[in-house]
Amino acid sequence: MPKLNCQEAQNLLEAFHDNELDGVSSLAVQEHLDECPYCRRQWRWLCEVEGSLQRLSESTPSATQDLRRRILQPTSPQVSPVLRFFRTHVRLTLVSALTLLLALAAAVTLREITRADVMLFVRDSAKMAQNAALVDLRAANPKEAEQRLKEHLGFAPTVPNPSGFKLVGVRCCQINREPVGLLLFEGNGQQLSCYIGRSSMTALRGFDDATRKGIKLGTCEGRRVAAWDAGNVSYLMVSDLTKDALLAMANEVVNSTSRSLKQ
Amino acid sequence: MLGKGNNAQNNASAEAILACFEALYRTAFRLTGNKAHAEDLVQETYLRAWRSLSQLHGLSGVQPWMFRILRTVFIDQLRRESKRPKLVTDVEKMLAAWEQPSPPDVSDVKDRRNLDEVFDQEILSAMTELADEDRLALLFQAVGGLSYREISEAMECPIGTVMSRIHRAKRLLRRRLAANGKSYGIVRATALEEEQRDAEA
Repeated sequence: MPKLNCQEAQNLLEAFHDNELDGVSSLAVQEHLDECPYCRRQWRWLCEVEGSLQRLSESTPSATQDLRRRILQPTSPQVSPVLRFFRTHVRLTLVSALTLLLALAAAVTLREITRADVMLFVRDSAKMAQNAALVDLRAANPKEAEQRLKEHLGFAPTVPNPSGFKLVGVRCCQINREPVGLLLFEGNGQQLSCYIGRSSMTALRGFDDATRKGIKLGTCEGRRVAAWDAGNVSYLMVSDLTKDALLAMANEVVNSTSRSLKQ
Repeated sequence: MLGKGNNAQNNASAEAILACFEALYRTAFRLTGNKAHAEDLVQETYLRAWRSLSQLHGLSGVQPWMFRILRTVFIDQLRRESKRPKLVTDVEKMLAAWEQPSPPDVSDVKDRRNLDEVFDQEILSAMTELADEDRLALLFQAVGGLSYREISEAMECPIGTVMSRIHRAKRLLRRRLAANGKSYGIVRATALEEEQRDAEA
């Protein structure tokens, strides 16, 4: 090892004193000390420091018996193993909690994104209903319509009977890969379409308002939309009526369908 | 068999942990400067050690492991203290300052004991000026009796860092002693005398 200068030697003085240097470095420090009075002076002061530290260490009072007893019998309340695990693995707990939170947020966001919009539903429904290869039944008989729906949907929904309107036909089609029944009503020169299906149409996005009875209201290309769920069946009405008129109509149908469900 | 093996291992670990008690307490006392704080520090250290006893696999590293916990608890307490306004004066420090012996006459060799007392007080006072990590490394070595390698395990840093911290701490202490010696005119009896001898040589 080359000869040390004063700075290098002084940087190693403490480790030299503590016997923490390898043989070569130790020899180099010793040689420097033999030759350098300045560093020897520093060395002597270091020996004074070490002497003081030694005395302080020896004069440090011993621990009391009471403390010995306390460390043998921890006074902290007993914690459950699960809580103890979380306490000892704080980082793991934090990472897990964060991951769970992110996953939850992602799931909610994904659900929100993938949920169809009521506007799209109504637009798609209109197209699909027009292209429906199935029956275009011109029938004003609710019983016949109910039978037709039962064949197509696999269950028999209550066919609404809105006052002032007359059933003029029923169409059956697939919307979003699910069977949906479409009832067409006419009255006072106005049309009213009513979609019936198993999947909740109130869960669609884009409604503007909701009533206490769970009727959701919205608008689609200037036409009013109202949707509600009754038991396992979901209804969605589209018409040119005003909002209040459609709501009144929806309320009336809700009441009548719930009455028929009770019966 | 496995259960018995684990029990035996746990008992051995517990014994090894308890064997560190005195060294931990003495280090804690010099770190905090008073008995009550040292007791709190050691008690919390053992509480955490018992809780995570299963993490202790080999017995060779028990002492560094215990000092690592002590360091963590100490730093946690420092953080809490720094957030709290300081209302209580450190009585022990005040008393120490009050009882500081008068400057000795070092021309009298018999007075060496008095000189040591002055130096010890100076060292105690200078230690409070050290950076926390430097003070920890110094006390782990000087009071806890840990080697540089054990300190590096306890402080979770390379051995070169330990060497630097101890060097920095002791350099400050020896400078303080040298300054103190000069101001009291006692350098003559210790280093200055030899310095002159060196110069003559």
